[in-house]
Amino acid sequence: MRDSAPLLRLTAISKSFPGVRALDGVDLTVGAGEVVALIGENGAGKSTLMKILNGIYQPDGGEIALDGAPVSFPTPHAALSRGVSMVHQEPKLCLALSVTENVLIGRLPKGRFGAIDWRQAHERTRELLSRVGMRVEPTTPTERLSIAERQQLQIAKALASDSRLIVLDEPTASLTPVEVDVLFGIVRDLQAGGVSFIYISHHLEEIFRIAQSVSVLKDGRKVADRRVSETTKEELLSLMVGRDIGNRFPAKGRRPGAPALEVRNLTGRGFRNVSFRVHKGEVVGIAGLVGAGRTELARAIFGADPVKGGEILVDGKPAAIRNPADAIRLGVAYIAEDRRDGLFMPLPVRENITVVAPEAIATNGVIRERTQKSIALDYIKRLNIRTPSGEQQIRFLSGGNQQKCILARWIIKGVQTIIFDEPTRGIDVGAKTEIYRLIDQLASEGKAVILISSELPEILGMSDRVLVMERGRLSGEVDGHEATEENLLALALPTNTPSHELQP
Amino acid sequence: MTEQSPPIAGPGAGAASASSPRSVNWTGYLVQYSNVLALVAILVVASILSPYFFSSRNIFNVLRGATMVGIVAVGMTYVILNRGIDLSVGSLVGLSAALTASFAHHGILVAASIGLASGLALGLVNGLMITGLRLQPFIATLGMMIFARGLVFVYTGGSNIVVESPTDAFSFLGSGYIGPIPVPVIVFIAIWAVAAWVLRYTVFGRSIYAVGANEEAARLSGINADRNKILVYCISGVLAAFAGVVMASRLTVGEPNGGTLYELDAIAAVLIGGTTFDGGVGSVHGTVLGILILAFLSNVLNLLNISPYSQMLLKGVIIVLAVVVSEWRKRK
Repeated sequence: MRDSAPLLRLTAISKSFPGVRALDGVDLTVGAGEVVALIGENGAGKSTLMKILNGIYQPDGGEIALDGAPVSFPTPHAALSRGVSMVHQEPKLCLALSVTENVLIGRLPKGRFGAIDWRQAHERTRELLSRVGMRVEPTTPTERLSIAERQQLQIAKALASDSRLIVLDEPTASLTPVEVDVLFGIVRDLQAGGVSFIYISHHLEEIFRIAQSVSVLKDGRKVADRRVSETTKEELLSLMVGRDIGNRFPAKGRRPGAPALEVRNLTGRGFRNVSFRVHKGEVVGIAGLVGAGRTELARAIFGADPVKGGEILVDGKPAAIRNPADAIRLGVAYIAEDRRDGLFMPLPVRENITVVAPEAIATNGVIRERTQKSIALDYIKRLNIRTPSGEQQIRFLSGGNQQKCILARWIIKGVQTIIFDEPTRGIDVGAKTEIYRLIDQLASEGKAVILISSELPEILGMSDRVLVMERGRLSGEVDGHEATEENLLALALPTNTPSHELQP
Repeated sequence: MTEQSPPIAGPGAGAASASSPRSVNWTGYLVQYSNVLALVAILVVASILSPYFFSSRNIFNVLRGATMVGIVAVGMTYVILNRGIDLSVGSLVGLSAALTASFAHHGILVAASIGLASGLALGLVNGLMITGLRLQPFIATLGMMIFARGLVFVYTGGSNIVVESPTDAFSFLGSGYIGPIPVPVIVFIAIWAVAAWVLRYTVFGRSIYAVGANEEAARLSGINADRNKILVYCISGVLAAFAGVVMASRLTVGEPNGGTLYELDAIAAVLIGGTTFDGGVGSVHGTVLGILILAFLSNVLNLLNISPYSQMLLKGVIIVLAVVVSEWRKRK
């Protein structure tokens, strides 16, 4: 082991899948105690590269070297035993089992007669948990942990196998800003102890906070390595898409019309006394921290969850919405926060696009398949959905294209109001811009749009008006031209709440 | 920008481009293809090994023997596509057969109606337990399987109900012929065709796939998932009961143990046919192939004088292999 050798050096890694060259001669170097960010659009090859590093895929060519010595990882276990592990975006944990069992899975200490030495196991777990700043009891069932805690648990699990290199895949996607701070604190602590990280994220701001260097992938090739101190967000964005993005958001020149949807004193699980109005041809943003009750509010308006009190008006008339079918009949659509709640993975794109509008494709319950196919193809073209055909199973499409299929559904249905819940989460920059353009076009054509988002730039860039929610109530409304990250955050943060308003 | 691009909503939607390129779903074809290959292989081997095999009498005997499980398996396909399971079908076959046999003297129409009504009623209860009480399908239909078998034993007192001097009309459904073709085979083909058509060309049929693929997404798409499930279990119950009617007509006896283990044979045929337990993937055509594979396989083994005990070994292996193959294809 030469001192000069970096912890990890990937050289000329290549990987092909049938019809796709996923990686083409990619190099990547990670020094000991370094955080290297890996960025690129969806489909750029980030996850393929990480799967090769973790022994899930085998490279077609190239070399992996640890401490300067070539290694091969035929299985994930081989990678793990050499100190390389991965924290997945969707934690793969045994939720019914205790924290200890998840942290020490596969390495629970054995006592007499081969039985598990639980006392030692819990002790070891407590020690590992404290290294990642967690204060839960080792015996807690894992299902009681929040998403953030589950992620920390995964890091503890990586430490249990003496990992020296941990891949973090979109770790902040479902975290609140406070939780992100905690996570970054843990990363810095471990980094000081010599652990290295590869950090994958779509949030470029985070990269500047946590990483020392950044590598950019595009179409399976590495297009740039930069020291974080020597680059800018704009440069990284243009490297990722290969062009200057200019303004990502379409110009706002919309003229709101009559009210399309109004709620009065709406109360339900997770929110209370919410009143607002959305007009035709208007984009209303709803900002707030994760857990502020925005998704709960949207689902209740859509009839997916019960309402406890208050009124919903559609086109000025009181509406009885008891289930999503009622809402859809009244012309209200909801595009779920978790894209998987909207997709029929094994079904073809054609079915996924036309599923909500049987009246457009069927007579008396009998489907006219030719009509269905031509409608699907029409919208694949109009929304620029990249798929080999309408018959492709939707699970093979990228996140952005899946999202466009879901949007196509509601356009075919001809709904008046569309509630978008985190429409660009986990979607690459190019597809994001397309979604923004579509939202703008829908509003310009007279649709009422509600945009729930945790990305403030998105809210600021898209909204004519911004509503802010904080712990279940509407804490304020700001005109789209006057909204800034600062005044929205001020309304979103719990500290600004006068205590008398916290009464349930 | 808005002026240049065509409106994405509004009139004209769907009118454009009816020219659909011929798209080929290779994965789907391969799954079905492997089953067809298996069936062809069985037929070829059989005709080489036994000169008797390809006689029309033998073929039709095999087909007729397969119809009762076949009818049950068509209903099971709906249930499994819907991401459920129906363990009660064997008992529903037995109950319907006993009822049909005991009402035979009122004529086949009355007797069959009573049999079918029992299947519809208990299928409805299955559906209501699963949607209303939120029971897992396995548990709800396991309870129904035992309960309905209990009903059969209570009703028959544990002994056969023999149809006294059955009329030709009563026996026609199970034992009749139209030309050289047994009536139950014709009936089965009709059920197959209707079931496949409903699945592919009706909104209800597509909803079965949608609910099976992702129930929450179906709900958020305005599909009444509960009603869809209830209907599916009703259909499964009615088809099982219909198999019971065919059984009573053929045997002119209602046996308390009639239809025992049909649920497992039906599930096996559905799985061999490439329909997966994850829901949303599969077809009735696949199930029919599965039925044919199982039926001809055991016919060949019988012709070769292989004991039923050894046959079970082979069938077990084939079921597992079939699922391995379809999982493998799915992952590609």
